[in-house]
Amino acid sequence: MTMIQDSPQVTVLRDRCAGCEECLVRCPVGAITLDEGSWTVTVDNDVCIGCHQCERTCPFSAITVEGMPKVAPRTQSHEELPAQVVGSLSEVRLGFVSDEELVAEASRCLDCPDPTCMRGCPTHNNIPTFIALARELDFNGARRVLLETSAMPEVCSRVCDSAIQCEGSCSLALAGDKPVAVHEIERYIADHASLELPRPEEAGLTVACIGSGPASIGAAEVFARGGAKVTIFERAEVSGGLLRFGIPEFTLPGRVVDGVFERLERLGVDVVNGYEVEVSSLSELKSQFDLVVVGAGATTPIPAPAKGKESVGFTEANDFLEEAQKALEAKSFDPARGPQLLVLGAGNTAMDVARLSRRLGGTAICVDWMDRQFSVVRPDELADAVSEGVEVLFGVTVSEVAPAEGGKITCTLVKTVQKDAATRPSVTGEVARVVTVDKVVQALGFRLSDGVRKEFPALPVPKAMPVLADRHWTASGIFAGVDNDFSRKTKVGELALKRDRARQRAGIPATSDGVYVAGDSLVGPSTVVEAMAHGRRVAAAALGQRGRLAVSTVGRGRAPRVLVVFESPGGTTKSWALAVAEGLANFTDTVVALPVDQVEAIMLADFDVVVFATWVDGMVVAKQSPGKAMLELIDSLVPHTRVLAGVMCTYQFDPGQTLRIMEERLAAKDIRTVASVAISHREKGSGPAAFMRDLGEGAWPAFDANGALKQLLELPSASANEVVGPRDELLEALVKRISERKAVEGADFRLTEVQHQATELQSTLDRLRRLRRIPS
Amino acid sequence: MTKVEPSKVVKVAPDVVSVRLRKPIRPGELRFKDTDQPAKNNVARFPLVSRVLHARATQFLLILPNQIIFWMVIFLGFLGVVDPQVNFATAITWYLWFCLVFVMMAVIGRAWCSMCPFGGFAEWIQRRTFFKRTQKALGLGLKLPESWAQWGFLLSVGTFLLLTFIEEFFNIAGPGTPHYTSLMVLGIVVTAVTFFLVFERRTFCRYICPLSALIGSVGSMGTVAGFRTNDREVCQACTTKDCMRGGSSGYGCPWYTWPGSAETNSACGLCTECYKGCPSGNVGLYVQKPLTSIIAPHRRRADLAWSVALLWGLVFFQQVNATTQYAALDNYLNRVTGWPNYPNPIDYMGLILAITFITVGIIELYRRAFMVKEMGITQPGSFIEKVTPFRQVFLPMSYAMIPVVGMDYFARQLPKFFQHVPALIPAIVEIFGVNAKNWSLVHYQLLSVQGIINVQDGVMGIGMLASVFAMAKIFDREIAPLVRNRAAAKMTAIGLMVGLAVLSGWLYVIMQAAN
Repeated sequence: MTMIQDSPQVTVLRDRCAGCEECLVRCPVGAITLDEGSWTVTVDNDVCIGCHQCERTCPFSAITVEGMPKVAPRTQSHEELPAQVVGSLSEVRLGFVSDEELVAEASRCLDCPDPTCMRGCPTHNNIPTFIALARELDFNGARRVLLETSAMPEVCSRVCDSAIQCEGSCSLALAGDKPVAVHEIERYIADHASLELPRPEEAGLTVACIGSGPASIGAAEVFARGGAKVTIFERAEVSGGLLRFGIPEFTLPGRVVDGVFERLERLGVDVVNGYEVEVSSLSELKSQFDLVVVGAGATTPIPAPAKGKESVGFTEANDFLEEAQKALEAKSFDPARGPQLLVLGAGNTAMDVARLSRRLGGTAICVDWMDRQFSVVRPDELADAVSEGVEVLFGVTVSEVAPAEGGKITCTLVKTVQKDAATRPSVTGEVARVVTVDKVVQALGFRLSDGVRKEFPALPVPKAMPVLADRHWTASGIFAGVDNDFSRKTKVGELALKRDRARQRAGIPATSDGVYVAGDSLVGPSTVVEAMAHGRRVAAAALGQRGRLAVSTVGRGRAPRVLVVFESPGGTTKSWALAVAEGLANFTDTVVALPVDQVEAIMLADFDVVVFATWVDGMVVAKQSPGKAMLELIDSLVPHTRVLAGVMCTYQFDPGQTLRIMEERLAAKDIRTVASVAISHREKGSGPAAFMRDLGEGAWPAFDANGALKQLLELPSASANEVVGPRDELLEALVKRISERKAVEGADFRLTEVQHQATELQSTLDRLRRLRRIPS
Repeated sequence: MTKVEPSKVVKVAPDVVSVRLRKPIRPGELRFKDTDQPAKNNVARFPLVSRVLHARATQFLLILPNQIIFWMVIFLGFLGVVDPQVNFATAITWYLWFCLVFVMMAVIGRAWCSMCPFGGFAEWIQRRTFFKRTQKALGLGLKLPESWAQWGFLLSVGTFLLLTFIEEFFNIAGPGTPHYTSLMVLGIVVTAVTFFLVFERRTFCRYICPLSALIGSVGSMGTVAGFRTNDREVCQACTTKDCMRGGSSGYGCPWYTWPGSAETNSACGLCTECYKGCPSGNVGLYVQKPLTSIIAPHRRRADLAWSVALLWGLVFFQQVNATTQYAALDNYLNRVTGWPNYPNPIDYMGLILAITFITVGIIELYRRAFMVKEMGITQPGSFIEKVTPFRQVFLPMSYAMIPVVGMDYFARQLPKFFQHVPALIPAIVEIFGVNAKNWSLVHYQLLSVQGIINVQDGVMGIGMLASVFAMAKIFDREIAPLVRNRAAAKMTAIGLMVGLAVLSGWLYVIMQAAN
């Protein structure tokens, strides 16, 4: 990194420092060491870069940093506003134009060990790694890193509002400085890399994606790379959806979108344009495909309230954008008769409408009823629009419209007042201005179409903060950033976590027969990168499913991922739950055991089997029931998670109806219980073997005894002594050996099958013993 | 076949973002060797104890009885009978409670803190709940400024000196007028609530509470090590530190203590929050041998050392103030300064500081006599962190003084207990309107004056033995490498402990003579 300025001053409050090393493990420059004597940290001010990450992450607030980060100033990217706006479709933002600029900016990255920028990025791009590779001018390497999380970095880097995403979450931004220009670097990589993806092997899965916008692109890319046969259905004649018609050429050139689809087609994705699929008639599509991903966007415009609008008719922003772009591309417009527009709104779309109007030779006034300081307008877009001649009025709205002479519209604009960002503006009635225009264009955002809402009544999923933020996110310090003008004083951490929860939610199907919803259709109006991340999440969740419920042939033969969730005030249930978890860990490579208060419904998308273990609440002889928190968790589950359940309880005297209650509540959430057990506190055993056996029977893939034996004998360190002897010992040895082999691809077994087929194994062993000399 | 493999079960919720944290510095083999307790000392391994510790209501149920008692104290001090001998407020506060607090600190540690109604009440308000885990605190949640916090327990010693002065001035614990006791308790509650609403966590308890330094130092004799890590590796690998930051089921440590590095019980409030909050179930409640938190800690805290010295000065003052010589001095100063009555602030603070600095001076003389000059280390830094040759000797020796100082405070409470605690029964009966002023219990004494002196000297004897034992151990570990003539140095150090204890014991004798 490039360093300038004086050293920051770091103070460690020794009285409060507990030597937990949260700061030490996260310091990007290794300025923090631990004094073993006092077991408190010490900081070398000369090495400290001043990123304040230690200050943000110290759990006891025992560390303070004074001074700004000592990094070089941000490298200015290039922008080229057209000298002649009318008729121009040339790209305005050009990013970096030389390797030197790229390297200079990449050198500002601190390569944080706990990179908050990655959390801020809606798709969790591995930003420090691709920046490090870009600094070495290894564009293909950097592109390969991006490939893991993004299907279209060339698009995201052009259209994302990075100031409140990755860049707003950059450690430098959280410290009050200008962040690393992540998007300019990403764009440079995407534009300069030439990476060919190998065509994957088929996984026996067919997927239909409805819509060809970012959500479908994200899903299609991951599905295709996972071996699925993907078909995208687009109602328009050209693929791209929102990318093509919602974003003008001067921001996102069509050739860039073409590149994305060319890449998808090389992966084997079929794109069917001009084919509209009604959300209400998915069953037909479902009969032809294993999975369906609805990525149709949010298409219903939010209407603007204005007196007299029925008499004049408002134009929809998307319609105007599409028509204007086509006219510009075909040069079929008369600059002398360009449209005079009043654009309602000041978001991205409104700015695009206004700027296209200017390119058609017209004029545009954007009105935002929010106060300037609370407006969601992007400062860079606003500046570009204003410099291109767009007039933007804040604190103003249209109250009345009326037809005027020559087909024009007279609009009365009135002033509004807004107290703070959280409060809706109120209309004062004071007339700000009266304007006469050709058209009034509504660009106030979109909502889910009636079709989607009818088909999926639970949508849109709200982007809400949890009661308690994810502990890893809290530990990273992303919530503790200072207000920064660069990120428009946005609480970037909260925004990012809300986004991420919606992204995780996308991994749970919307129906029991494999229909997923992603992007704007899932959460309402969002952003390109969010929609793409949803799509990727859908595909990753579906492809990740294992065991008997796996959707692809690849996953079907693999052991399921298990979540053991327990409610255990006294520790007894916990100890049994952990015993089960340890037992199951012998037969799969993913077992996570968590107390109920750390489990959220959205986590279930990443597991195939969930064991619900509870204590028995209530009186000794009556009203027994599962623990309150366990019931709350079960009730909060989203239907169609596709997991299989095991339920267990531990009891002192009588479990009552505890298991039945859990099974019924789970069934109400479309979750089938395949094993259940009630364990007495007096029971002394090594573990509930029958419960595990039932769980294995219901959830684990089929077992091949001969295959198991073959692998067992092929173990490099296997001793034949371990598998020869009386049957019980043979079984024990087999289980042990198999558990040690579970890291090997395909080595998925289950205890129950081992037991059932011990006879067969014994006879096979006998045969083998005759062939090979195995000492007994 | 018998090889035990590490668990492959993940016990912390996975992170969606892959991080590449630096590796933490692992402690050397010896760093926590003497303070870490064996697994058998973890009482939380018993399911019943575990269940109690997990229950959110546990601390509430500990606080509740004391809460009821102390609100009764507040009300009955104002509204009850005027005779302090049979007023519930004075009787329970000064005849029983203050004595029990010392027993709890000497035997357990911060047991009182876990059930304290003052901090407890303020914490209920701060958390907006009696015992549930809520996520939104009431108040400003500020951190205590570093300029204050750097003095650690010394702030608490300051408030203890102030409160003791007020108590002596108004003869609150005499016991004088009952409503003074009520006002004092109410004052503590109001101060606690104010601090809890301005600052985060238990800033009040950790830094300001008048008893905090006393319990933190004397409690080091206790047999409860507090909540500690079961496996330090797990704590160091933990990337969420719910025990410090708070998690879904437990608050972050209100006392600013991390189980992963705790080596004494002096700042563990036994509130059970870390136990409840640990996502890995890696926290246990450990017992230890008495004096372990005095002898074994690797880190000697300057604030605690100076607190012990000042507390010694205070308790010594409280013994000296019974002598006629002191009375003469106090009267003289009051005449000269126009101060209304005992104690005059000049002689109060003057004597406390004089005794403190004379004791510290003796330790400095000891250092000059025995310390090898070349062994002296000087490292600049803040009050807490700096190292000087004086501190190299003073810090460990002051820790060894803790039993003498602690037992001295305890012994000082005994007369009230033995002479007046039976009066608590009529005081309780008085609450219900029964006239019990003439009950024989009101004036019944459990022990004669001579018997009390004997017990006091016995207590001081225990304190002396504990200090001698601690001094001998601490000397071998920390002072021996620094000094010449080790045998003489050791005997002198032990002699100093004996001297302090004997001096106190002798004062108990002449105090009674003065009375």
